[in-house]
Amino acid sequence: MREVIGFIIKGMTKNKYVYLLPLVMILAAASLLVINSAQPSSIQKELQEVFGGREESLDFLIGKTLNKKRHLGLPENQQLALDSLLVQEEYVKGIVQKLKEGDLNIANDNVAYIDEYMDYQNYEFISFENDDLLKIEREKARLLAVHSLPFTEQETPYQTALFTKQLLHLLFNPLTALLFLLIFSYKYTTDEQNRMFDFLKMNSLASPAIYYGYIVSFLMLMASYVLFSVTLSLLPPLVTGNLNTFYYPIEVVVGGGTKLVPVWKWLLFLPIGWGMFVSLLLIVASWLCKQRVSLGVLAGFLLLPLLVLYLAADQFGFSMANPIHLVVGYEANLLPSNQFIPYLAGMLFLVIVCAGISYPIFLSKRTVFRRKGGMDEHKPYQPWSKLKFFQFEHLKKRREGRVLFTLLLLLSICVGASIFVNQQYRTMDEKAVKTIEKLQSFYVSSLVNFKVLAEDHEVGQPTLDNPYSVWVEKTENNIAQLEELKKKAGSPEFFDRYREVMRAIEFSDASSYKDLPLNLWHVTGMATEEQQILLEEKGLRPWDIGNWWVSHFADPKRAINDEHYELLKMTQEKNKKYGNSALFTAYSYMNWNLAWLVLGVFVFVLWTNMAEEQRPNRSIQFLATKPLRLRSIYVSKWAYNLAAACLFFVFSAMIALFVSWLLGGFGEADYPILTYAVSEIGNGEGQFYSPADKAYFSFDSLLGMLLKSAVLILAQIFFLNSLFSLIGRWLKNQYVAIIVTLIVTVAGYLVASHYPSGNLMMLNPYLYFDTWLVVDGWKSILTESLRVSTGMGCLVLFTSGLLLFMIGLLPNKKGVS
Amino acid sequence: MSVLQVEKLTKMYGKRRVLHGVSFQLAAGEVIGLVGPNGAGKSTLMRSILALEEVEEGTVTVQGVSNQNPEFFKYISFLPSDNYLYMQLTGYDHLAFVANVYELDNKAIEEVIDSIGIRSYVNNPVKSYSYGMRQHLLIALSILTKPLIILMDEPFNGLDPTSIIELKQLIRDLHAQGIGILVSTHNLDILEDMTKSIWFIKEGELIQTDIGLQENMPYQIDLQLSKEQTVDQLMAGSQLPFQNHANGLLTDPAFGVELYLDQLIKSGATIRAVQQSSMALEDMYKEFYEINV
Repeated sequence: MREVIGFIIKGMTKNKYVYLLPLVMILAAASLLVINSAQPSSIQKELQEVFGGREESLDFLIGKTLNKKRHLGLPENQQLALDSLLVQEEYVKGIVQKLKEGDLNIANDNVAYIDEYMDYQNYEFISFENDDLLKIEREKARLLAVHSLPFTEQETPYQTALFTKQLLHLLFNPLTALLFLLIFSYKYTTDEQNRMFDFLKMNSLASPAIYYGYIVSFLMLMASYVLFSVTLSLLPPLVTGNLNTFYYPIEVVVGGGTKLVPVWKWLLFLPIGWGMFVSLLLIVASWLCKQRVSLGVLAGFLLLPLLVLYLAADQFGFSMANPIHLVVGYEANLLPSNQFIPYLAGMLFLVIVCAGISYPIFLSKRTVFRRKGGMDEHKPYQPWSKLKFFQFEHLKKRREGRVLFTLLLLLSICVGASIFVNQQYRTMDEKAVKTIEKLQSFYVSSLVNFKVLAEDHEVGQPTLDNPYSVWVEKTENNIAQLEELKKKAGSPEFFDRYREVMRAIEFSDASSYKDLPLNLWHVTGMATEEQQILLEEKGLRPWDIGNWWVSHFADPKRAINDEHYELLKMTQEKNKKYGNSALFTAYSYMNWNLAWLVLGVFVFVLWTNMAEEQRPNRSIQFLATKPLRLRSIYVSKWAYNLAAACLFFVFSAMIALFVSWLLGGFGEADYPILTYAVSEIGNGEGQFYSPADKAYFSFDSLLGMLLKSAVLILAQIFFLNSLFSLIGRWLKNQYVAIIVTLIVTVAGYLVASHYPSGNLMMLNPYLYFDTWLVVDGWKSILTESLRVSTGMGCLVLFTSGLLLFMIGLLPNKKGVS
Repeated sequence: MSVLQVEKLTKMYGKRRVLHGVSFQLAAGEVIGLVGPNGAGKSTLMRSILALEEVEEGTVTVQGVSNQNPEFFKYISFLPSDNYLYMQLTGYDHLAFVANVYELDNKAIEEVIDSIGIRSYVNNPVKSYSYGMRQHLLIALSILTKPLIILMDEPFNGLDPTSIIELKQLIRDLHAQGIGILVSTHNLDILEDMTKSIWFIKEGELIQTDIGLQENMPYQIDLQLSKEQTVDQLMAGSQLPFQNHANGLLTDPAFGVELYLDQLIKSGATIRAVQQSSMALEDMYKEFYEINV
């Protein structure tokens, strides 16, 4: 076996691409480091906001209490509370000063402040902190103090172990694991085609020794990748001497509570878990490769069980026996406790068992799934009498493996999107709990003002009704409701309850938008209310989790200043919609404009044009010296691109919808989705006018909009294919043709984005590449033209595409010479 | 009867004239060797005939069909010097596609596979072929369609001796089947072995000639000499210049062979054979392109 390992490793080290990988990794790590270090410190800003708020509350409370003392005197407990408030103020002022100087080493002061506040609560005076959050904050500050750590950047770290964690997440995820599997499968197939295994057998090596040697070589390559990644990721904290940041506590939401987990657990779990996952994949792949299955069958045999494991984890929760948790859903289930140690030990046992099972498989000579003719022979080409050039284009792509590769890539994108949407849906608890806590903190800090005002009113006008005490009562009630709600996190009725509570809190005093002055009739508010009515009429459950349907008018990109931006962003985050049904996944797919990625796959991987016949070999001469017209070849290539793109797109979308359906059902076809219009459409039935945003809006069914989007995407494919084919007709290099297509597309899109309302801009095909924004009518608002619609988009894209295609039909002898 | 007719073909590369009003005819069963140094325009001539190059002037027809008409390629096939095959496809894929375009049946493919001897690797991708294997496939492709004319551009390049012998034999067979062949090569020995019709291309013009039919070549006179006789003795009575050559002499082309024969008869020599020397292709090449080595 040693000889085989030596032989394989030697072969690998002679491949220049092996050395390209570390370079790419170094480049990625350096880019992340530079990007993160260029970001402003969000943790400093966040802490300044928190302690600034505390300082304000304390100042207000102390001022009012001193005033009361001066005029009326204070009972003993209130005097003690005042003394405590003054001590707290000292701590907070010290912390604020430190933060102002950029010193985040405030853990000890923070603990002292919180302890003082806890004592203060014993005096039963006005409380202004959320107890639950304070307990977590204290624990975090305590842990930081124990390890002499300052607060540090969590979102964009660059010199701490948090950077290591961020980079490890990038390097050790399911996608990189699948990439490793792809490389292994491809290498194995190539080696088999090159008769490497026969060569090794001829050298009197036993079959198990050869295959074990082969798999061990790859496992060694994988281990090198892990080692290199870990070393690379550890460099920033090592170089800057921030090794103690390994103990930095990270908040992880488990059920309704928050737990603090030190960073080192991720740094330990990520490489080991990923390594074991890849080992399992490679071992099983080697069994299948030994059976001489094709790459497509191999992908199917491996990805299907993975999908089943994922579905099992999704439907039945965490299980110690499910290896999918090596890469998915481990944070809340394994890291807060030390359960990850027995889990990893169990998985190691599984790897060893699988390696053992390999022996009889490697020893056996019989192949169960053997392909007819063996691996080295291709499926014979049986020409069609009709569409012969079309078939020939497919044959060329199939023989290159591009058809399978495209299919796998599209499936990865579409099924990956489904899983991503589902993953987001599964973290809704966490998002909801964070929102609840934020809201609680807001109410607690408001409570101070109401309480002081209520007390002032009580002292000043004891005989009159006290309006502030009503506010106090209401706010306290809200805090209590939120607290109750938080405890329900993780339970099945949590989200329904969440909506009820949030609605009760936010709309307690608000009536219909119709009762507001016209200049406050914003699309967001109006659409939310009207949508609610429609949902009730249709008997549909609203999408989780927020109450508001945030319109494009309330997009943070349209903010007029920083504060406005923050406000809009918070509203958007709070009301972000989550779901995991098939239709919701399709809705997310359209919203993220993933069709661009799909179009990119077509252009870069699958599509063909005449330029492809020029290099590397002048195969154009092969065709030009046959009794056929090159125009037929041009048309065949164009038709092949179109047919393949449409078929692959529909096929992968169907599979993705099926997976989403397994995860979360089909979804609500009739769900009302907000659509916009710059002016009244028809007789205006079902339309509403927002005087504040000066726009019309209405609702369209989700399924209807998705179908419209699909048609528009087909039109985009048609146009892009014609453009790509025409460019390929003029150029003699496929790569240049791809780059030129890309440049033209980016330029066209930029023009359409920057000057949406320019003259005749509606004739720019790229205006219609923002699929969902065209379908929901937002583009008509941006272009100030009702004519910019899905119908017009299809017309422009199909017409211009047809025109480009026709230009390509004009004679062009230069293409041959 | 001429099958391929080329009229006044003129091709310019910028200001450089590569073909200058080239005209010729190629008949069925005729094998022509096209010779010229690199850059002389051999490949350009072939590519212009096939309309792979845009020409400034001239017409090309096969059986009256212009090269601008796709039907032209029903009668003519091309064996290029550079690789124009699809690397990812197998040899069989290429043959099957061409057969499909020409509406030929499977039998034709099988025949050509066997006749060229490519069965052992025809189902492998072209990228795995050696240079010689690719040449074999190109040859198979060029004869699959049973054309009237085949243009072969440097077909012997990269072939091993066995393949060269086989290809030479194949060309002879095709010639016997009445297929007209225009073959260009730098290997003069091979060409000399296959055909006496050689066309030189120089400064854009085509000079058609046959090996052995040149004027001013010396005659070789073989003699039956007795022990006492020498050539010098026999020629002693005349002023005719000559060169000793084996058992005879070489005449000076400036003087008629009859004068030599008269002198030799007068001297009592026994004449065994008289033949005009043919110039070797290499010598013709040297003379034509004024090469002094």
